[in-house]
Amino acid sequence: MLLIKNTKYYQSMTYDFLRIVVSTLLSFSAKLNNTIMRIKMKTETIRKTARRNFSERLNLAKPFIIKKHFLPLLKPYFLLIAGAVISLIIFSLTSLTLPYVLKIAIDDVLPNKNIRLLTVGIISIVLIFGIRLIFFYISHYLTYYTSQKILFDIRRKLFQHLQKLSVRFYQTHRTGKLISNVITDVGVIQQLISSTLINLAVHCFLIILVMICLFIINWQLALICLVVIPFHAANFLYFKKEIRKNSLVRQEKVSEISGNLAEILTGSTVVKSFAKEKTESKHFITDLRKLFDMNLTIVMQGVWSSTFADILVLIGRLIALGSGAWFVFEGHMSIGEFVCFYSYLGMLFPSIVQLSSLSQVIAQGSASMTRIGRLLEESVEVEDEKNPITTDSFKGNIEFKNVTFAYYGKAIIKDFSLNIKPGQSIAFVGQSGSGKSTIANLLVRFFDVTGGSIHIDGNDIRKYKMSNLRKNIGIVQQTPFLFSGTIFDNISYAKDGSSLEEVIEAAKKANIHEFIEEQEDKYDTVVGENGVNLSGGQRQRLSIARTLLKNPDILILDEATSALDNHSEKEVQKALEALMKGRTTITIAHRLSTIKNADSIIVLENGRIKQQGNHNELLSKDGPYKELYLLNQEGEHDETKK
Amino acid sequence: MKLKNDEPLPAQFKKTSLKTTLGYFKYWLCLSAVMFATLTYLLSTAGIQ
Repeated sequence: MLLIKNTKYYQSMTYDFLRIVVSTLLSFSAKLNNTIMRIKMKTETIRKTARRNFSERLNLAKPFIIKKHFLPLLKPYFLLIAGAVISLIIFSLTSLTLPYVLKIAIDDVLPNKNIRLLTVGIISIVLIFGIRLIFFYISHYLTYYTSQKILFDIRRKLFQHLQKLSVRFYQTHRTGKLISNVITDVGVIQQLISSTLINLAVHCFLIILVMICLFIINWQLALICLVVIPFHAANFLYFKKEIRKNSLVRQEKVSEISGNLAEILTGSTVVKSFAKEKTESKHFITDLRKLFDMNLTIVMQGVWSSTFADILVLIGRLIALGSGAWFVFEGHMSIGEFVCFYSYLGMLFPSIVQLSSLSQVIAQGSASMTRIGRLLEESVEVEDEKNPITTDSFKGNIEFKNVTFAYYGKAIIKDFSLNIKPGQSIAFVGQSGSGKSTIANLLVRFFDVTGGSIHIDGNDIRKYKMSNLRKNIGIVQQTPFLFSGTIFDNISYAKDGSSLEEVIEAAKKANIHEFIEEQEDKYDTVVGENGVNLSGGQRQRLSIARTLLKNPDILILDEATSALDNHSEKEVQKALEALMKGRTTITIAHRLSTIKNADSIIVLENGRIKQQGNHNELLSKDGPYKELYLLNQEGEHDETKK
Repeated sequence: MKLKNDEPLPAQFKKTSLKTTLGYFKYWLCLSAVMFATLTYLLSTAGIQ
C-alpha cells in the first residue's frame, strides 16, 4: 500500500515537475519568439529606411558618373599605369617560384642527393628575391606617384567646378557638406587609389598566375579544388554591393554632421545667448551615435565577408587535401607535385580572402566617387557664351528691357524696364522683398534673367565675358566679407600685384588710412576671421577701399550703411562719396537720408516700379516714397531721442 | 606665390614619358636584367625538366 502510495506521490511529483518544466519552456519559447519577432521587425524597419534613403539617392548613384568623371582622369597617365602594371606582374611572378623549387627539392634533390641542383636552387631563390625587391620598389613607386597625380586632378577639377557654380547652388547647399565632399570623400578615394588598388592588382595577378600553375601541374585536381571560386566571387560581389550602399548613406551622414558642426561653430554666439549648449551637444551626440551604428554595420559586413571567405578557404583546402591524396595514391601525381600544388593553393586562398576584405574599401571609395561625381554633375547655371565680348572698361550706360526674374517659380521681378545714363546715380527703395537687391544680383550675373534682357553700353550682359563684366562692376554690400589675412591682403585682393602706395591711396579715399596708421602693425595688421577684430564701420570702410582699388565703372551700393550706427554711417558716407565720383551708381537703400542726392529714385513694390523721380519730386506727391520717408523720419527721430 | 586671376591655372602635371620613367629606374632595371640573365643561365645548365 505504502509502495503504491509512494509511487502515486512520486508520479504526481514527476507530473508537477514536468508541468513546470514544460510551461517554463513554453513561456521561454514564447518570449524568445517575441524577441525574434521584435528583432525581425526592427531589422525590417531599418532595412526599409535604408532602402528608402538609398532609393532617394539611387538616381544619383549610377556607375556612369564614375565612368564619366573619373575614367578620363586616368588617360594622361596611361604610360605610368602601364609601367606599374608590368612591374606588378613581374613582382607577382616572382612569388610563384618558391613552391616549384620545393617540388624540385622533393622529386629531384632528395631522392638523388643532388647537391649541385640544391646549390642552383638556393642561388636561384636569392636572385629571384633580388628581382622581386627591385620590382616591389618600382611598382609601388609608380602606383603611388600616379595615384597622387590623379588625386591632384580630382581636387583641382572639383574646386574649379565649385567656383563656377552659381549663387543659387551655394544658397541651396550647406558649406560644411561641401567641405566634407572636398576633404573626406577625396580622402577616401586617396585611400582607395593609393593603397587598395596596389593590393587589388597584386592579388588579382597572383590569383590568375597561381590558377595557371595549378592547371599546369594537374588540371583535373585544379578543377575540383577551384569549385569554391564562384562562391568566393559571389561573396565578394554581394558584400561589395551592400557595403557600397551603406557607405553612401554613411558619407551623407558625415556630410550632414560636418554641415551642422560648421553651422553651430559659426553661430556659437547665438547658441550661447540662448543657453543651448546642452541641446546642441545632445543633437551632436545623437548624430554621432547614428554614425557609430552605421560604421559598425559597414565594418561588420566586411567581417562577415571575410568570415565567409575563410570558411570557403577551409572547404577548398579540405577538398584539395582529400582529392590530392587520392591522386597521389593512384599514381597520377608525384609527392613533389602534390606539395607544390598544395603550396600554390596556400598562396591562392589568402589572396582571395584579401580581395574580400578589400571589398569594404572599394565599396566606400566608389560611394565617395559617386558623391563627388554628383557634385561634378551639378550644372553651371551662369556661364560665358561662346566667343564672349571682352572689354577693359564700360561707359556705364545700363538698360533693363522688360526684365522678369523668377526664383523657384516665384516671380521676384516683373516686366522691369529702366535706362541709366553713364555717370548717373540711381537709387532703389522699397520694402523688404520688393526685389531691390535682386536687380543688383542680376546686373552682375549672380543669376540670369528669366525674361527680357539687361544691356550695358548697348550689349546684352550675357554676351560679355563674365570675368570682364564683374571686374568692371563694384559692389559694396551691407555686411562685407573680409578674409582672415592682413589689412593689406584684404584691400589688395581687388587688384593683382597692387603696390603698398596704391593700397594706401585707396585707404585714404575710403577714410580708413588714419585708423590703419594707428595700429601697431599698420597695413600688416591681421583682421581675424571675417574681420572680427574690427568694428562694423571699419570693416565697411575697408571694403570700400577694396572697391576703390578695383576702380569699377559701375558701382552697386547694396544697403552699404544700413547696418551702421549714426557716427559710423557718417564716416562711411564720406568714403562712399569718394567712391561714387564719376561712376554710374546704383544705390539700394533702406535709410532714405543716404539717397537724397541721387539723380533718380525708383520705388519698387513687388518687383515693379511704383514711383520714379528725384527726392524733391517724389516728396511733393502723395505716394509710397512720401510714406517711406515719413516713416524713416520717425525712426531716425526715435533713435536720436534714445 | 599668388596666382593672378587671369593667369591660366596649372593643368594636370606634364605627361611623363616612358623614356623619363625608364631613365629614372635605369640602374635598377639593369641590375634586375643581370640577375635575370644569371638565373636563366643557372637554370639552363642545371638540367631541370
